Amino acid sequence: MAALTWTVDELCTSISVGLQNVFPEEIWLRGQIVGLTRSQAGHLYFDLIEPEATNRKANSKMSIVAFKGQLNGIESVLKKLGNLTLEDGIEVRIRGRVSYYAPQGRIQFIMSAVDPQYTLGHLAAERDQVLRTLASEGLLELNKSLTLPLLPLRIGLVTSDGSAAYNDFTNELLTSRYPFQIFLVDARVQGSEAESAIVNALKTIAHAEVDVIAVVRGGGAKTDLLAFDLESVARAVANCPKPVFAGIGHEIDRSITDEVAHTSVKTPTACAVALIEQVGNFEVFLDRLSSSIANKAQQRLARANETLENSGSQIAKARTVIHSQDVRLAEFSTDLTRFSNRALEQARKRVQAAADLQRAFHPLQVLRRGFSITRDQNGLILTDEAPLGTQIITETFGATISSQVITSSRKETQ
Amino acid sequence: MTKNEQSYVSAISEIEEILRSLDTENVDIDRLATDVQKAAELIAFCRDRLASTQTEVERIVSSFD
Repeated sequence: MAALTWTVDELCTSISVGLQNVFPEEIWLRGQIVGLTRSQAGHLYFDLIEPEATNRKANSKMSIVAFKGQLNGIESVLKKLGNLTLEDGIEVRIRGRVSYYAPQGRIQFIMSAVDPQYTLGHLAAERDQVLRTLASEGLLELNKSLTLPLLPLRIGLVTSDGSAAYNDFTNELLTSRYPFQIFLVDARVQGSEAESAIVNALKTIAHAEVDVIAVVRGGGAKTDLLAFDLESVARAVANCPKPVFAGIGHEIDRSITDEVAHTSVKTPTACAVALIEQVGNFEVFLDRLSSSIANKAQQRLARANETLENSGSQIAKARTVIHSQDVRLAEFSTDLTRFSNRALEQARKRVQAAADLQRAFHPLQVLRRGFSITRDQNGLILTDEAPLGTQIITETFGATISSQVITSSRKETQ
Repeated sequence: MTKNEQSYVSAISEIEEILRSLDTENVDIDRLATDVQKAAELIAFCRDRLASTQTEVERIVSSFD
């Protein structure tokens, strides 16, 4: 008997109907994106697999298509609610319907919607896990503990050559007034090659003759910057023997690279500005140092001058003192002569006066002026009455006269 | 040095005292010669001190230049 034989079309139609019976409505599906491509017509194709992290049967795979008509809505929801884009490697929860595509003989999932919170939650969870691991190994502080050179002029740059980030960063440095030297290691900073490119670039530049390393990238969707949340990239930054400056374009969240970097700023331009400031600080430091040296020298000089002037005036004072003492001694000398002469003169005058007086009162002088001295017979000078008849002898200047008392009476007024 | 300075100062006050006693009405003539002699000696001493001090000062100043 002839077995029932299906035509291809019959089979395909039957599978299609059967699928519709099993999945009459849209369902939610979660998995990790791989092999994402965009057709010229504007449709998006990728496969969803079991996430690498889980150990479930990893060979299951489902083809996904997002047609152009739905894609705009899907992408704007991702952008608006999570600053996300659909990228290889990220985990998504999508809504759609299971359908059989007869022309290629395969089942595919026609995507109509996406749940951004699911992806955000996964990214945050992964990020937290990486951060915890790095923290437990002390890697978050490792690069920060490096001392920034005072004059970081040789910059190792890790970015995509010719990108806007590259141009922003290098323009800012090269138009500054400092002689920066930039050593570029070209590295893709987005997509599946980014991880190994950045890690290798950091390893290459780490041992070059540079003072600091800058890792820069322009802004983009959160999923564009996934490479900077990877543990391997974070480890390469943390273990880098030179201070790493991160200038990864982001608005709100910090990437894990930012967390482990020595210094992190929001944009490539800001990264260049931070380096210019560091050099500027050194210039200010030098200026302060030199003016401080100059000030101190001037102060010392001024003090020395003051001391010298003081000693000069002290010497002048000493001379004045000596001179005034000299004058004083001369005055003493004069006074001594004057006073002693005057004293001698006065003494001489007194002696003369005494002599004069003595001379004036000498009896001969008295007798010469007509006075006389009367004595009794015993030679005693008479100063009072004498008995009548007494012989008295009167001595004048020129003679000795003998007489006899005839009368004698006492003076009333004695 | 301090002792020498004091000795200059005390010499000066002694001279002044002698001069004060000579600048009065009643000078003791018996003491006059002694006092004048003493004052003259003190003045000579002070002049000596002053002269040597001046020499010393000038020597120090010239060592600055």
